[in-house]
Amino acid sequence: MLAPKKVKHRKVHRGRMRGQAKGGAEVHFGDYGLVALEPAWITNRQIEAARVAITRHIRRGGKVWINIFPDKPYTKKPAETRMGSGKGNPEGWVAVVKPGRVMFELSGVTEALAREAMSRAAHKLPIKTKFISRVGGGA
Amino acid sequence: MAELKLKASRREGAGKGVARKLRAAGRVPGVLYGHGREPLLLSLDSKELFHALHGSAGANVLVDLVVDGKQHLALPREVQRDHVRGQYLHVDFLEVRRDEKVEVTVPVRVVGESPGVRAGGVLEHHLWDLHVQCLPGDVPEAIDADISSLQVGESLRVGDLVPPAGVTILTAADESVVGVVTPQARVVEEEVAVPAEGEAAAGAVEAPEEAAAGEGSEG
Repeated sequence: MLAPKKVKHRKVHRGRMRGQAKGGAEVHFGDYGLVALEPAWITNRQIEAARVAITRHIRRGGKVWINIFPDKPYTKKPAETRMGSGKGNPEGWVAVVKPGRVMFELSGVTEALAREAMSRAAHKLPIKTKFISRVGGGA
Repeated sequence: MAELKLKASRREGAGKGVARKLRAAGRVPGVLYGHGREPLLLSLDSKELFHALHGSAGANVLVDLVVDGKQHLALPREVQRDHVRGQYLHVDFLEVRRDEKVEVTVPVRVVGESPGVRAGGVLEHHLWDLHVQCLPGDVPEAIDADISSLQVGESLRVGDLVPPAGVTILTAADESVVGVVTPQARVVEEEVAVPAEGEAAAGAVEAPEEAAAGEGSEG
């Protein structure tokens, strides 16, 4: 599963997810892509589940790119703990995704297969997504 | 190269307020520049622009821009889009002359069927666009990359491509355009699918703990 090898700060602020993706909004590597339509924190487990869904569906042939990386630690306080006494413990890793971000890319398969594979991946993600292709994929 | 007529009107004022009002009215702000002329602020009909830039040549079209009755030959230079809503936000046009060479980016079109792919290899597309120099009227829709002789482990380089007459490729000749490699998806599936579950759970817990230990020693 994706996680940073080492981090400078083990706890970070939550931040805000305003606006749209500044970069990574086009299909750069493959032929097809899965675009986020909502802002969200995508956990490394969700990314892995989506990747497995894609690779299992395309079986052989094809190549998958994951364009997002979960480099933000999220924390959680233990159950039945009173509020206060500092920030909770690091629990996992998330990628901050904004609308327009191409999260996964795929090449070497037919469009029908790519569409179905991306649809299966989308079911593993907590946000609405859109399938795009390099040819006529944008506006 | 595809050539088409596009009507535009001059717009008064610049900035986000003006641009937003135009977009709300179904128009797209744009600008025309080149040949040392003062930039001309324009607005175009969004539907007309969409159809113009969605032909077989994509954004590589020679546009006969009619601005208040005056014609300008131009190439779309930079097209800004809203990737979520699928609308155009702004478009730059570069004024060109028919007898003056221009530098443009042209897509690569893969043609033929590779014996390497038939043998189970996967076609990897490394370079999608080429930087070329030619007259505005000679800009090709795409440059063909013939892969009908590519075996597994082989690749096609920019130097192997044959540009149409009058077109010079400026991209470095040793850059790889397409290659046929052994399939990766199946290898990933076999290698990662089983151990990934165990590793993954361990990794998620370990990483923050390691970091915790690090901070403890600091403090």
